Amino acid sequence: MSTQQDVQATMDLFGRLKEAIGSVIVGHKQIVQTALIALLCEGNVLIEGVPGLGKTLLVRALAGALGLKFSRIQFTPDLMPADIIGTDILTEVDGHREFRFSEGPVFANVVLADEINRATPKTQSALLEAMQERTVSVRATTYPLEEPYIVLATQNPIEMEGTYPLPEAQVDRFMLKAVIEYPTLEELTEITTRNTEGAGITIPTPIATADDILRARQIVREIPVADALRTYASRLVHATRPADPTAPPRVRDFVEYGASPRAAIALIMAAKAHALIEGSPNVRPADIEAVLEPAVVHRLLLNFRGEAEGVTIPELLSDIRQEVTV
Amino acid sequence: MFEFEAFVASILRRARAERFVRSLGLFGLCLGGSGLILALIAQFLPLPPRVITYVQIGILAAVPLTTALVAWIGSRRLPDASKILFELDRRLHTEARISSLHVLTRSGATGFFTDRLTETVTRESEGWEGVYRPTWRTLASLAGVIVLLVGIVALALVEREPDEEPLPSTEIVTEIEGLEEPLPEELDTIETERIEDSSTDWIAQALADLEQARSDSGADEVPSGFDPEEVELYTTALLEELRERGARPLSAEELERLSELATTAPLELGDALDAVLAEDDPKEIEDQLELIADYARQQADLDRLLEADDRENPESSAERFVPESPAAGEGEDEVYPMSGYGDERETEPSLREAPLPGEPGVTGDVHEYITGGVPIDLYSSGGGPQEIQPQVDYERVETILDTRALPQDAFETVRRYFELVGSEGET
Repeated sequence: MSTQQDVQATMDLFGRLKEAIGSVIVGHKQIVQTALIALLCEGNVLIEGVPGLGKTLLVRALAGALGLKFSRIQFTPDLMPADIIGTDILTEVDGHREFRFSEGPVFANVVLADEINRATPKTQSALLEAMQERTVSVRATTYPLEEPYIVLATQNPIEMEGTYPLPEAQVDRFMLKAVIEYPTLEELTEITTRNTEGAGITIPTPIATADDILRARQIVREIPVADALRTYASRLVHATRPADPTAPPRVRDFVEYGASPRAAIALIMAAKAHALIEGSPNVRPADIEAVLEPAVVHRLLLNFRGEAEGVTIPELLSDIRQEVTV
Repeated sequence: MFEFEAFVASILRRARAERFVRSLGLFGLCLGGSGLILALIAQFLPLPPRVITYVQIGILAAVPLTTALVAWIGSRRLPDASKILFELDRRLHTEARISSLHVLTRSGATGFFTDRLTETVTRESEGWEGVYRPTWRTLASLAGVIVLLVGIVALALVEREPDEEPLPSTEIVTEIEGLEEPLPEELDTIETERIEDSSTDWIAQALADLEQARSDSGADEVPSGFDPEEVELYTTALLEELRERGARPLSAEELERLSELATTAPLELGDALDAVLAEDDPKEIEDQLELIADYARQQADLDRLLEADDRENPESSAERFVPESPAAGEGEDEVYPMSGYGDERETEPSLREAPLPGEPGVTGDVHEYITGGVPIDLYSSGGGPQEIQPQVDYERVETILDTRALPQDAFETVRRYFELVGSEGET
């Protein structure tokens, strides 16, 4: 069981992490928080935004602040699965040759899958096992990945040229999704200042260790969730399904597929991490509502009518939040 | 030291009580509905209040009482603690801390979060009882239910005052129910139903009136002290003496004895005995005594049979049949004793149809010997006094029988008798 010192230290640590990342990334506080929540919940984050908004920089800053092993994979159309997970290479050892496994970039603590939707679905799927089971299987051998492990993938909006939409199974394995918007005028001014003066952008030095992260994850799991709130989270997820009687009318009209049970798990876990970061000893209704969109938004699939009418999933989630009360 | 378990237990007790009080709203609704139905029955039915029996009140009371019972059972049922605690969180604005602490204590978890939440809940839950304080609306609802309950019980227990307004007449009933003027048969039905529906006192009074009416009509006149065996023995002994010693006028003692018997005999037999007393012809006296003796013997036999039947099967004692009367048509001035010699009270309930032993006789001073008041007119069918024939006026017969309030089957028997007499008399 966690002591008060452990919890307090974790809270302080995450306060410093936000500060450190914030010193590099202008604005996007919500995105930083989402990334930290995923880190605390053993989850992965899909960050979507047009090129040039600082997605990669955000991930690099996070990895730098955590002091963990970081690797970056630039997804391209010709990228192969072996380029990601590694492959057996014929190697000469002590005068005889043997196949030895050469680890790919996926073997790290923080993996940046940059522009993941530029690779083919086959290559995208190479990350599935690593993201979910934290293992990599090559031929008959399964290799565990080192904890803490987190995949932060960036993707361009799927309407852009040369992109492949992620398979639903792949998307579902991202615990949270964050959408990076254009910075405001003030933020843009600040960005130009930081990048054009002085030494420019510097990646923060490590302020946390792997043990700190693992202990923080343990603390997150200890945060209590009231039964009624657990039910509330389930009802929210249930209401995303068009066949559900509690679903709002627009969900029934415009949604093809609702959220999976992974969404409910992600919602509860993210709410716990959110409560910890916010300094609360328990999950509150506000915690659940705060993480509803990042936990669910990428798991809903609009039908043709919804696409045609330009309905957005955040709008539907807003409907659900109003329809389903605690 | 804050005892969270005791805290939760007291919250659950309060929640149960609150749930029970809330369910009283439904109870009050049911109670009010039942009371309204009861009041409507008492107000609009043309029946005395006591006609609303305790059974009916019990049925009406069953609905709210069942609701109250269900409410009580429901309040005793273990409530969902997590829901109640979360509701308390919501009311106290404690952001699910009480229910979260309940989750931790339920799982036996200790550590920072348990301690922190305990500390916070201890501070924030002060004055939590105020959340469950009944509102004015709840108290008003409760008071209304109690008033309703008392009112209905008082209404149920109220006794009918003896000097209350009399029962509405049949005409009032028909006016209220918007019916057309009822036929006489319907009036009888309504009257009967009213008697059946009324209280015991009312029925007793109606029966007493009916008894009095029947008594006044004379339908139950029964000769007292009549012993057919005694008549049989005396007339047989007298007849034998007359036959042994030859026909003769009756002595004063014999006349006195016959006169005594005539006073206790039924009307028709008394008339026959009176005729013997008035007769001077010894031969006629002998013939008439023979008829009287035969009739008295039959009557005595019948009485013995009935007594035996009563002993063997008391339930069948109500079944009686018309006694055989003395043979008619054997003389010009013969008497025609009729049915009704026995106990009319016994024979009345169910007279059996039986072949009448009488046969139409010849004409004579018939009207003097037939039951008084029976309208028999004499008419002449040709020339001379011998052609004069009796004829019964049936319409008048019906009128007379109606006034005697005879049972319908007895009425038909009498009518048939006169039809036979009339038809034979005409031939």
